[in-house]
Parts: sequence; structure tokens; C-alpha cells
Amino acid sequence: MHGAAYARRDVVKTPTPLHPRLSRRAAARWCAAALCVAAVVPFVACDRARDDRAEVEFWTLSLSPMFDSFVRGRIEAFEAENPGVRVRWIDVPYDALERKLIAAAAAGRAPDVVNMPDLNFARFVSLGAFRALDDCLPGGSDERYLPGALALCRVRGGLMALPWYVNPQARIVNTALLKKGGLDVDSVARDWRGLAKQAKDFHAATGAYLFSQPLGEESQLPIMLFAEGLSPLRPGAEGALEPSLATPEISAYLADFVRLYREGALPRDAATRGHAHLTEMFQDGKVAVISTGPNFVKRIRDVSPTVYASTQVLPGAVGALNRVHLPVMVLAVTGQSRRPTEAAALAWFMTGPESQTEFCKHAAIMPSSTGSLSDPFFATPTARAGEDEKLLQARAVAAGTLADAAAFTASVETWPDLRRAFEDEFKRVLLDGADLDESLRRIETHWGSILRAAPPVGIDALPTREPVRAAGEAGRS
Amino acid sequence: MTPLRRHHPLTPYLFLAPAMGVLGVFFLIATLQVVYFSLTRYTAFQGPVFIGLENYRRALASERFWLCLANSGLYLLVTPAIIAASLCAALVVESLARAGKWLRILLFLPVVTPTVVAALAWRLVFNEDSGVLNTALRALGLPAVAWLSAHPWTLVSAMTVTLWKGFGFFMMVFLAGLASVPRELREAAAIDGAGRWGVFRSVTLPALAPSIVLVFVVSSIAALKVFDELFVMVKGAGITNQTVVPLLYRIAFEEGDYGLSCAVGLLLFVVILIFSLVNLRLSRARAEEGGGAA
Repeated sequence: MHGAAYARRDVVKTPTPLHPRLSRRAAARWCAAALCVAAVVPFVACDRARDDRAEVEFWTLSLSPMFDSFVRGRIEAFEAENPGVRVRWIDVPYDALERKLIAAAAAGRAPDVVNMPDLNFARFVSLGAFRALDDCLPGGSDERYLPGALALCRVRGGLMALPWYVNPQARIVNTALLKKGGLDVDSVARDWRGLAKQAKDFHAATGAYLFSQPLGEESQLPIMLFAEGLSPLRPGAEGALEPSLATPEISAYLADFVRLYREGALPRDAATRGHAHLTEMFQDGKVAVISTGPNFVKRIRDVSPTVYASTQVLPGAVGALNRVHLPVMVLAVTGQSRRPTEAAALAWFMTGPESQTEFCKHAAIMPSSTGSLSDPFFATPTARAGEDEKLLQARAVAAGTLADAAAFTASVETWPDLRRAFEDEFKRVLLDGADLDESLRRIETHWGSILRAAPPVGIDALPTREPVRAAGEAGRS
Repeated sequence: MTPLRRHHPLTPYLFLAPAMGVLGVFFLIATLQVVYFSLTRYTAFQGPVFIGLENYRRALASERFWLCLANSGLYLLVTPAIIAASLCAALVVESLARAGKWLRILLFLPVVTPTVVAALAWRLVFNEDSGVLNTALRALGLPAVAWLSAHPWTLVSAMTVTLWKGFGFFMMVFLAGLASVPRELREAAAIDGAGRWGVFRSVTLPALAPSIVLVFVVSSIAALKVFDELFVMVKGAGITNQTVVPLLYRIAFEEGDYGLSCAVGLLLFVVILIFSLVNLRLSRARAEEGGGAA
């Protein structure tokens, strides 16, 4: 009782604490501090809001962290030239691009400018992802870019993107492994048919693979067919395209690869995995020749020094047309962009000669800008700090290849659907033992239905035989 | 005695409102949206445009839909395997005293393992060049099997993961069912001369019928909706090795065709609904038969 009475008296004398460990005075102090913070926040927010520049979101593909300084430098230069625009740069992993872009668009938050490889580009055009750029560019595009690269960006007459850098394919070879199989850089074939001929004996002698290519997943075969001069599409009536896959020539060409695969002279991953299996197997010393961008040697140097010691970069593998395939990266402005003019200006700036030349000095790639090619750097590529003779060799191969390289990707909105239909059926041939000719007929029927359902695109949509530097109207495959 | 207070007639609805609200927003509205989108041409970049039943026509006319549906049907074979494995495990666990506790924990571990992790681990086992299985087959002089790339082995390897991951959960269901089987019945049957098998067949199994129906319905619905195992293990093997849900994913997130994807999803919903209704009706009829006989 006494205790309780004492406590009651105590309550009268001193204010009741809100909490055993928090006196009223302390609580008041905290409240005052919170009020101060609340009072300051609007000013900070106002300070941020004062940056009333238009924000443009720019997505690139797997350029960070290797090319951070280049991209940030160009963005700063663009912002200096366009004081009313602020660029928000986001780098997206290559494999995640489709999913991330679709998810962002579904949420109504697609970026303003997006970097796309030529293979995915047409798919997104068909989904209505991009805005035609013809009316919002500050200058003419015809003279500014290599004709073959620009042709890829035109879909049914509309300029749906601007070509950025191009990545001429090189053969990266493991000379030590070649030697085990009795080959060297001079005797290893340069064309796909030749490589296919050498592959079986090489595998028998070494247990490793002479080469590999994605045949099923992310199949390169349609592109190789164009490179071979065996176009799987032909012009039909009224500007429409028709499939021409079930021909004896195409069947014979594909049969070589099917036979090699079934005999085990090509790795199983060739059917089930895309480009990634090439680089992984090369790094592991399991394949002697791969066709990829010359820039890949940097990665070999970093992750596999032993293989790097016997790595050489040779001009890319070719088909009967003797042209190396040239994948093109493009920059497109999305239809959801709220700042299309500023977005187009950014794409224009990034694909301009100055930006492209600088980019090429950072990586073994080539520009699609005609203005860049007159830069002395491309006549005699020079190594940058930290680059050795192999990287210089990669640059030289990239530069030397461009004169004869051709872009064998069709500029057709339905191209991704056609490829997917091809891949699904060709996997059946490779993995389930389906008959090749029967499968080619089935693909042709499927392609026919896809092409009939799509608006006609005209013969210009097909890749040309001409080098990308001079591709014109003549010489369609 | 205090008289009962009269409730306002809306009071029960007030209590139901939060749950109804959540269900309405996250289930009912979403379902109605899917139905609507399935009747439209709708991509990630262009809003829905009504096209009637065109998506259903496209889905039903496409060969890949039927191939994937057939694979979904094949995948149902995992259900009897799961029932058998989980029932056996439950019987073993129940028969062991102290060790049963530990065994129960051990067998339940796969259930709490993320499916993606399990599938990646099993991918190593099924690896066609260096996996344990093919190495063993070669050692026995047998040809290697294309577990991850050729139909129907692709389904077999994915089903193995489903079985491995799922049977621990269903074992717990059967253990709960076994706990409700009166011990006296089993003892009486044993005294009457029934052997172990006889007790199991005539007493335990009939008593477990409700649990078996539950496991059958739940595991078959899960089998029809399987995604992770196939997506992780056999993605590169092509669409002919996939079931309907991976197809649906591909149409939505790789091809960007939401309208068609919604139509495929609803077709799968109809298949699952019919399957479940038939299942329940059959099991009810069997239960009534059993009841009549009793």
C-alpha cells in the first residue's frame, strides 16, 4: 500500500512518462526533430524538382561495367548539347532484354530509347513497340549510315530504328587444340561446308569438337542459308514473300549438319543452347573454332588465360557468297516514349560519327556510321592501354572484315516467328530423329501461313548479297 | 439473464467485406480481365482490341497447343507415382518409432527446397555427357539417354523432380490419414488372421480413401500446372517437350502476345475444371458405393 501511495504522489510531482524508457521531455525533443525534418524535406524536394529537364530513359545491352566510362561520357556530352534533357541510363543483361522490355511496356514504363540486336528488333516492330523516326530526326539518315545496316532498320518503308555499332563475326580459334587434331590456322576451313567436312575426323582424333553453331535454339542456320546464297524466302505475287525451304539444295546443305550432330561430331548443346554455349565451350577448351564477335577475346583473356595463350582471331566463317555475317545493333525509340523528340535526338547523337568512333576505340567493334570510317583509326587500328597484340589482331580482323561483310538478317516483321517455327521443327530433327525433308515441308507450310497472315513486305526486306558498305538495290539473295 | 442483442442485418457482410474485397481485387477482377483479354488482340505495347474468339481459334488450330496439352496429359503419370511413393513413405515412417521422426524430417526436406534449386541440382544428375545416370548406364554397357533433350525422356526427368519435391508433402497428408485409422480395427483384423498385407488392403487402404482422393486431385492439378521443372531443366529442348503452362509463358513473355496467352490459359482452366469435376464425381460415386456396401 505504501509503495502504491508513494508512486501516486510521485505521479503528481513529475509528468507521466509515455514509456518506461521515454520521458515526456525526450518525446518532445523527438517530435521537434521530426518537425524539423518534415520542414526541410519540401525544400530538398523542391531542389530536386528544380531540375525540370526532360528525362529520357536509355537502355543499353550488356555494356556495363566494361564500357561505363564511354557511355557516361557520351551522355554527359549529349546533355551538354541539350541542356533541357537529362538521360537516365540503364544497362540490361543481353538475355533478359525481351522479358524486361515486355514487362516494362506492360506496366506502361517502357524506356524512351532502347538498344536492340537485329534479331529481336523485327519482333518488337511487329508488336508495335517502336515509333517511326522518319519525321523526328534532325538530319537525313541515308548518307549517314552504311546502306546495309540502314536497310535493316527500315520495315515496310518506315525507319523504325537507327543502326548503331556492328559486330563483324570472326573465327576465334584455339591453335593448341587445332594442332592436336592435325590442323592449323592455314589448314582449318574458312567456310561452313569445309568446317563440316573436317569436323568428324577432328572429333575422332581429339574427342573435342572442331566447331559448333547454335542449330536448334537461337538457330543460326537461316542466316547461314542466306550466306550460302540459298535464300529460304523468295518473292511472291504483289510484294509478298513465299517460303522456299523444301528445295534439294537447302536439304542437302542442312543434312550435313544433321548428320554431324547425329554422329556426335557436334556437341549436344548445339541443338539445345544458343550462342552462350560457344563461348563457354571455347573457354573450357572443348571446341577449337567458334564464330563470334572479335571482342570476345577480352573475355577469354580474363577468364581463361591458358586458352588465351593459344587463341588467335581469324576472319569470320563464310558461306558460298564469301561474305561474313554482320550482326547490327540498333537504337530504337519506343512508342510509349513521352519525349519522342528528345529520345530521337539521343539515338541520333549516340549513332553519330563522333560517338561511334569513340566507342570503336573502346571495343573491337565497327561503326555503322559512314563518317566514322574515314577516321584514320580504322585504317590502322591501334591498341589502347592494357591491350595486347591479340586484342589488336581482333581489331584488325574486325576492320578488315567490314569491307566484305553483309547483314544476313531479314528485315521482316515476321522473321522472329519464322525463325521460331524453324527452330521448333529443326529441334525435332536433331533431338527426336524426325526426317529432315518431311520437317522442311512442315516448316514451309508453317512459314506460308505466317507470311500470308502478315502484310506484304516486298523483296527489299530480304538480305542482300552486297557488302553492307555498298548494299544497294541490286543483288538480292 | 441478459437478452441476446439484435444484430444489424448488414453486420455479417461487414465482417466478410475485407476478405471479399481482397478476393474481388486479386481473384475475381483478375479472372474477368483474363477472360476479356482472351477476346482481344493485346500486346505489351498496344492496348486490347476486341477480336472475338480469334485467339481461341488460333490456339486450337496450332499444333504446338495440342502437343503441349498431350504432354500435360502425359505428365499426369506422375500422380500415381507420387501417391505410391508418399503412401509407402508414410507407412514406413509410421511403423518406425523414434527413427520415424527423423525420417519424416528428412523426407520432408525436398518440399522446402526451392524448385529452381532442385531442378538445377537434378540437371547435373541428368546431364547427358557427364551426369551420374548416363555415366552409370555407360559403365553397364548401355547407351546414354538424352534425358534433357529428347522426348519423352525430357518429361521423365522433369517428372522425377516433381516426384522428388512433392512426395514429402503428400506423405504428411497420408500420415494424418493413418493417424485417424482406428488401431482397434487393425488389431481386430490381425487377430482374425489377416496378415500385414491383408490388414493394409482391407482396413488401412479403405480408411485412407479420402486422403488418396485428396492427394490425387491436388497432385494432378499441380501436374497439369507444372512450370518450373520444365522451364529450368529442358528449356532448350523445344516446345514439343513442354506442357501448356511453359507454352503460355512463352506466348506471353517471349512472343508478347497477351491475348493468345490468356486464351491458352483459359483453355487449360477448362481442362483442369473438367478433369477435377470428373475426378470428384467418380470418387463420390465410389464412396457412395462403399457406403452402400457397408
